[in-house]
Amino acid sequence: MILFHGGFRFGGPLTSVLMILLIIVVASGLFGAALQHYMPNVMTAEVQKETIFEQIDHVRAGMLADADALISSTTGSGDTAGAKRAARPPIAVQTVPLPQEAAAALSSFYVRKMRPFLQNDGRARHPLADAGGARAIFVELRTLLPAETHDAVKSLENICEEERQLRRQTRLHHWLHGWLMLHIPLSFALLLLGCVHAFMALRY
Amino acid sequence: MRRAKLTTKKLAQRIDLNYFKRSHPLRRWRFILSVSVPALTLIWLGWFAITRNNRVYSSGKMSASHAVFTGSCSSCHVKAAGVFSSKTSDAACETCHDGPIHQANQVFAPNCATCHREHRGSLRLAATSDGSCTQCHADLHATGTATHYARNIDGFNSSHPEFAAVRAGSVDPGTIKFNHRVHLKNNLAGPSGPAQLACGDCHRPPASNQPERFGSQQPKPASVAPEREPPSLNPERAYMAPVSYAQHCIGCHGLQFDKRFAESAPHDTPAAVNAFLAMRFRQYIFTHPAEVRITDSDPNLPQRPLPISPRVLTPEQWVTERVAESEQLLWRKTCMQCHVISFPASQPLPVVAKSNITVRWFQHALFNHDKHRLVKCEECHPAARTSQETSDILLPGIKTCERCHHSGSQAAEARCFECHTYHDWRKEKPAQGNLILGQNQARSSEKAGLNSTAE
Repeated sequence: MILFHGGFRFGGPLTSVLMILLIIVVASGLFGAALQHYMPNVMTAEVQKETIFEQIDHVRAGMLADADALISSTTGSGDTAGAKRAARPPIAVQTVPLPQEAAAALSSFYVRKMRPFLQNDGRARHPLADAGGARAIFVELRTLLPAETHDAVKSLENICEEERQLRRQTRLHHWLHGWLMLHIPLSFALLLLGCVHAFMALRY
Repeated sequence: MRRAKLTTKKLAQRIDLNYFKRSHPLRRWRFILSVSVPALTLIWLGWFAITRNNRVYSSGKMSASHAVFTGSCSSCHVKAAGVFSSKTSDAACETCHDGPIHQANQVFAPNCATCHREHRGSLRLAATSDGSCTQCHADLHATGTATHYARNIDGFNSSHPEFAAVRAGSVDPGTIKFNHRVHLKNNLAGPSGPAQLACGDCHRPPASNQPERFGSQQPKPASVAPEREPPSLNPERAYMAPVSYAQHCIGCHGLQFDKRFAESAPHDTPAAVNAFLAMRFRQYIFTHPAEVRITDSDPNLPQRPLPISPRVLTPEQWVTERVAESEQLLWRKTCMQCHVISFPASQPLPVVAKSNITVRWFQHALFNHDKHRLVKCEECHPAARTSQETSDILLPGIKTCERCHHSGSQAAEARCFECHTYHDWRKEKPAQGNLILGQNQARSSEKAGLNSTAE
């Protein structure tokens, strides 16, 4: 309709801007509508541990504290800082003395690999960011550690899985709502300039 | 040593219940952009308002001829008292242009802007749409009388009638006896040996600067010197000039009148020729007085009475006889080769019929030979090589034009304006210019502003 209204021409400066805005708004709207139909299904299928988007950073901080507390209690390092930082006591603390070598191996894995991953150290391709790679790492870790630590290792693996899902949710959310960063401001501008155009068209 | 199972309750406990009180960056930026982008557009429009420049509201680029008024909306958009809008009016156009009426009996006259659409870029405003013409000519009516023009024309390629000049029964009204076929033969007797004529040897526009192969070699008048203006602007390149004896024929068709003289008789009226002959023979006998004694005569003269030999004449008698002989040669043979000549008994000199050479065949349409100069002549005038009669019409018909001018994508322009003009420019009144240079922009600055009282 608008193309017919303009005679398939962009016209002068104001009408050109209006036409460009209209094209962008319509295109971004169609793109957004397609995403709104597609992305929720992807989110449901791939992110079982979905949480409120605005709470993701808060939840991740809690997961980090959980992991710190779990390592502290498992290795018996006495470092309860993580447990104190945790908002809630999500872990069952069982103080079982571990062999020193096993405790060192678990601590080393946590400090060097898992904690940076949970802290989101900025590495584009962290080994634990890939589900397959993470599974192999934790299988290898279990072979190094005594059986009584396997429950703790399983908990750490679950935390990594949740971290991956929250990262995935963040990416999907950006796709799902990012187009609005373009669509809404330009829609307002389009409405405003459209009113000016109507006024001036009546005048001239 | 196992992390507690994440029940729904535990998951809920992980949520900060005050999260909605803090703005997430995504929402915050969305809000900032939603405010700042419209604000930027207002600043953009505000800048034009501050600088009193209304060009931003133009609906498109002005045509090349009106580009100087781009910033001066009020030159054309005139605001009437008490009216909100400032539409263009015919009066604004007629300030600079006179738009002569198309036809005295036309049913209605459209507004200027109906056909000449501005703000569409560097287009020719005269390049109007066919709809502007066919709104009347598709079902033509006239006020108070019946039209004698074709009544249902809705396009050049659909219902345009055959050109009047080439319709059945039309003949060339010219009286000059000319045989195209003979003149286009090989090995014609030219002024300096065998010659082959080409179309351009006789048919040339007035502004042509090429030397005449078989005409007089005198330079052309300065008024048609081609270097005065570019070819595209030179109207004297549009139509072929009528063939003239002095420019195209004299090289081969000399007007010899007596073996005593190498020069030709003038290509003029019989009276002028008669006077010229008498003058030249008087001059001759004055310098050759012995020739008044005639001992023989020229056997080549037709219808010459047998001489009485020898005779002695007075100079005036001798001149009278020689003039009579020369006129016999000219009137009865040389001139008659091309002209229709009659010999009224009541007049001493013959009467030469007017040549009636048609200068412009299409009286209601425009044509430009110069624009078609790349096309071979025979493509449009195929009968020229075989025509033997003066009365033959050698013009192309509409089918010839439609070979190039049709509505296809790879075709020459076929809209009405290509050949026709709407306004009868013979009735144009001179414009009374009132634009003062330098005031246009000033007037624009004063009047184009949104809050100007002038608008």
